[in-house]
Amino acid sequence: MHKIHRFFLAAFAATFFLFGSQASMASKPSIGFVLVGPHNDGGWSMRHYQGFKSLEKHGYESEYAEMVPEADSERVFRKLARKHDVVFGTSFGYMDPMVAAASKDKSNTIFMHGTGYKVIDGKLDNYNCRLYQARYLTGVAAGMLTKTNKIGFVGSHPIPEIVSNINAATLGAQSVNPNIEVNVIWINSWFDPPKDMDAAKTVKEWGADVLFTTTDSPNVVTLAQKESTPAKPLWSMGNDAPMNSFGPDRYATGAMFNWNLFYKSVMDSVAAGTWKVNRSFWGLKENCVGLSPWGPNVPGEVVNKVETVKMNWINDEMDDDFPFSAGFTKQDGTVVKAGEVGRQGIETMQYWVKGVISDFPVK
Amino acid sequence: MRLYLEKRDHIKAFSRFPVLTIALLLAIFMSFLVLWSVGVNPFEAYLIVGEEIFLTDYGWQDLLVKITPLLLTGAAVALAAQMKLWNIGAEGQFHMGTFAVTWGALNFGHLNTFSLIPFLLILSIIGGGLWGCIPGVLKSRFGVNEIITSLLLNYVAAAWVDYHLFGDWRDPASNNFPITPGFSESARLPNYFDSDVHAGLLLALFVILVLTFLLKKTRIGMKIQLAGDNLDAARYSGISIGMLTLIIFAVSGAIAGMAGFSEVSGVHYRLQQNISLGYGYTGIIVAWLARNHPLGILLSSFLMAVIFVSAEILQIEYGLPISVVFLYQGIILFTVLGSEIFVEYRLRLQKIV
Repeated sequence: MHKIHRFFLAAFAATFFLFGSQASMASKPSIGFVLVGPHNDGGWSMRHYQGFKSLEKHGYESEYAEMVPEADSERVFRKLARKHDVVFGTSFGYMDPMVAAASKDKSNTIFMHGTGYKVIDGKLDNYNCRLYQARYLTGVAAGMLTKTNKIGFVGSHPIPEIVSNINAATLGAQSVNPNIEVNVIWINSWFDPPKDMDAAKTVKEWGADVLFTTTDSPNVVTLAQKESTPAKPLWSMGNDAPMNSFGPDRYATGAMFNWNLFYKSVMDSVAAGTWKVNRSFWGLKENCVGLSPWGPNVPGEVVNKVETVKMNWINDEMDDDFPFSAGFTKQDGTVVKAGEVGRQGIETMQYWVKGVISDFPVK
Repeated sequence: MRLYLEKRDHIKAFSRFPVLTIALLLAIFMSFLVLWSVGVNPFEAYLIVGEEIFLTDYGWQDLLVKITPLLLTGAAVALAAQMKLWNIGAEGQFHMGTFAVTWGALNFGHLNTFSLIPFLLILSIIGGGLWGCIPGVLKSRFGVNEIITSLLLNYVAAAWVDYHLFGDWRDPASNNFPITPGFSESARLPNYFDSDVHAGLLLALFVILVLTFLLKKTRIGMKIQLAGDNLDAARYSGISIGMLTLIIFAVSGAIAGMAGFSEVSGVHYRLQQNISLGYGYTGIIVAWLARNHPLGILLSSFLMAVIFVSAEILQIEYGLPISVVFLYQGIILFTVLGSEIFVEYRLRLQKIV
């Protein structure tokens, strides 16, 4: 008897907990989000996590699941949608699972897909930030820092977002140093540290002395710190988040995301009842992307130059689609005139600009 | 004082029951400690997980969808283990099943369901079966250790699928992301009761039934069990061990291939990376827990599916990091699998004089 009694007590406590927690969230819309990596990966997923958690001080509570495989995600989206007003998924591969979950969901839950391109009116929106803008600035820094005129990239997946980033860095480097060559090694994964390190070593052996990555691991930073010598100095650039702690001496800067303000604007619009599909694409001007803090050994003239370009950009001297809107030459020699490539062209970019020497991966 | 293990004289069929019960209780107790140490009320956590899985319609759906591939991969491993053969390659055979099915669905998507679905099923049987034949032939012809070959072939199969995903099968509309185009409607398995549960579950249950019948009631089943119990006796009685090994591996591979068919045609409707989520490896645990008994697989795949599904419930409800969830899952597997030794052995304490 005693045991049964206790069982009911526990059940009662559990129900109370459930309803209690829901009641406290009723005032403001709540968030459920799904991360493809661990919340403390030091890169992409961590920045999203920090963005969502920063909303707690504005009264938007959130729950999440991390390391959710893309092939197993639809279930998790639907589970979160039953509890929360807005469900966020933050990986390109979540696109079709989110479309499926959103079309099956009969409640008022709103779905927000980070990156990707599919929307459902009144139900599913997608969003991204213009990381290529920050990547252009890191390219300017790389063009000034390199002695070998060779820049190496560890690439994740050759989707347009990543391709446009590498192209932007190349154009940035060429703006200060026309002899730049860029080499890309793909690992075909977002997060695979051993493969990542092999790729980083390969571009280093090729002669690159500034190492970039578009993956979520800081291996290029570790490698630059470990193998840099006074005769052959190496520099590293972080990705998505500040990565300087992994190799502070040879860290230059890095392109990174700041999701806090963007996520706040989404939740504010949901709270106000004005949310609609609008495919947000914020950039430097809205502070959705930026540069991570400079490493201590970067020469002052480099910092000065890059910060000047950044300031001018924020002051609207360049438009949002810069550098692509200014015109460029493709790898095959085709000339793209100013104004020809806009947002649409950036979001479907599947070619290299001149200066990237790797072959473009199969389409 | 000395602690040692002593082999039990006779193992009663029933003697697994108390051992397993104690193991489960121990697992629950230890997972209580883990949950408690991260500030979660363990009673409440178990109640919520139980409620989410068993007292909601979506909980049952998720569970049944998750059980489906585990039934098949578990059966694949268990069949080989009946003859004391280790098929560690269910993962690769699963991948080759998905590969064959995707080839069929992409090239013959215009056919109607009634001809296409059986055709895809046969393709998955061929794909997984042929892949299973490789360690089978190597074992029966050359005596190569099947654990090594079947395991290593998993990586080859995954690389083979990737090769097509990153190459000619890549959906042109995917902006260079490695996924194939979606399957046509006719290549998709029907769902039941407006839920996510699909025909793959029936297929899996049917396979288990057939397997039970085959092992218990037919000559070949008897041969397999004889060969499993005593290889030399089987050889002297005139059974061709080499041929039997090959057949077992082919059928085992075919069953794992069917799991691949059920996943791509029943859940994803396309091929993409990491579609398996380790079902082939989990199948080994499923078979082990079931003592390779086909009906036991029903229970053990149920347990594994609960563990799978509880992961995100604990994360979402309590904000636990996935590592704590892995720890909790690991404890359950460790105690339950580790307890097996006490079925055959008992712990003895001896005083050294």
